Amino acid sequence: MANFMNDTNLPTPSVKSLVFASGLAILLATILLITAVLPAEYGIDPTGLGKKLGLTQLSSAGEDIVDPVITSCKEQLGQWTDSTTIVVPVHSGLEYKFDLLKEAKLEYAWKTDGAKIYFDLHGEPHGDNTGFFKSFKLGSENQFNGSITTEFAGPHGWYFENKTQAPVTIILNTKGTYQVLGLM
Amino acid sequence: MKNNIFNIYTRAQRLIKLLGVLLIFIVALSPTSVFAHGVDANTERFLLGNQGVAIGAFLYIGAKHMVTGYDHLLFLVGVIFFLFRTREVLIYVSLFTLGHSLTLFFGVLNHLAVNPFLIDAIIGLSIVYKGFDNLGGFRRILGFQPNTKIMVMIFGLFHGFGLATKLQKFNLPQMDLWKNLLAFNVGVELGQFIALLFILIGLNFWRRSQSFYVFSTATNTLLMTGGLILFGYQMTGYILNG
Repeated sequence: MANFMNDTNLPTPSVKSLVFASGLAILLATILLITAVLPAEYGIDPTGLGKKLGLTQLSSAGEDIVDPVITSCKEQLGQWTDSTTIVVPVHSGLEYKFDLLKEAKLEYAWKTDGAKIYFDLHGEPHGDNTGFFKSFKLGSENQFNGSITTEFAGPHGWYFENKTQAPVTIILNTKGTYQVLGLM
Repeated sequence: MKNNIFNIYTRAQRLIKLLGVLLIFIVALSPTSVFAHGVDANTERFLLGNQGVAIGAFLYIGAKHMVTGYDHLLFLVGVIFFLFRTREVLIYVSLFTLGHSLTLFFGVLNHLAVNPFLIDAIIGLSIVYKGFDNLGGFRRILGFQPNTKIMVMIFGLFHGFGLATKLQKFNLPQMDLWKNLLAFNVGVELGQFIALLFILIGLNFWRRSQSFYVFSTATNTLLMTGGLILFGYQMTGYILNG
């Protein structure tokens, strides 16, 4: 019942065959690494074959997704008055508001880290105690942009509710004449 | 006496096969969404922010790591390639399990920060080692056969550190850490069991044909190739990001 490998009666291979097998393994591994694995995983493509095979895009794909967001954010900040990051914890809701005058315009663009979030863009008149509010837009998205014009003076902004299993991060860009009330 | 031992082994074999079939049925009949890619990503996202004990989630993630852990599986293929008896398979797999469980627990409980690229590169080398060993390489080069059981246990220790680094990527609350850790470990063993079942079924089918022996050298050469690719891939990652 001796283990196959520990059996001393096994034929021992020749050095030549071992060298051949090992050399072949090293050669194959090097070829596959240089032409496929490194281009696909790291974008390292010394032979240019990775690009031809369409593999380099697998690695730069990650970068492509990230860069436009960063650059467009930086560009957009030029046109925006304010930019803020809001983290909505798991299974909770919060409000982020701005104080605006009547018939004031609020331009906005917000986007999440990918997950969809429930939102309600609405406004309440100053000093109102009846619970009246006007909703401009509501739904469940991972980004939205547009503008609103207020019909009355008062706090206007978003109710965000995170119904997912992970915190959701929202980048909110706004432009207009207002007082930032912030998280409420 | 000999008959009794034979009966115990055949009975154990039958029990294991039955358990295996049951497990496959459970897996197959589970709602497919359980194993859908989406749930998997959701589980990971959940665990990244998890604050408490989450047995089910860690169990699943542990199983998933083994079933999709081609580096661990390749090493196991190398180990069992020439093991023809169920008893031997059980012994070697148990030694591997013991090794990786020890370092998984030790690494996580002691908050050891092992460089993931380096440890995965070593795991790649373990595959190269086993392929070369299967070719009889050490018998020729060293003049003796390094004890295969001891080596499986030692490499198991390294594989365990690899598992520890993967687990530490998730949020591991300190309270009742051992509970989440144990769930992960059990998951790993479940995943290993399932994966081995399929591997053994495939191997045993192949072993019925002469081609298994004819191609055993080629197969182990390919195993070495795979291990070298993993080694190169991880070392590059270490140089770039480590």
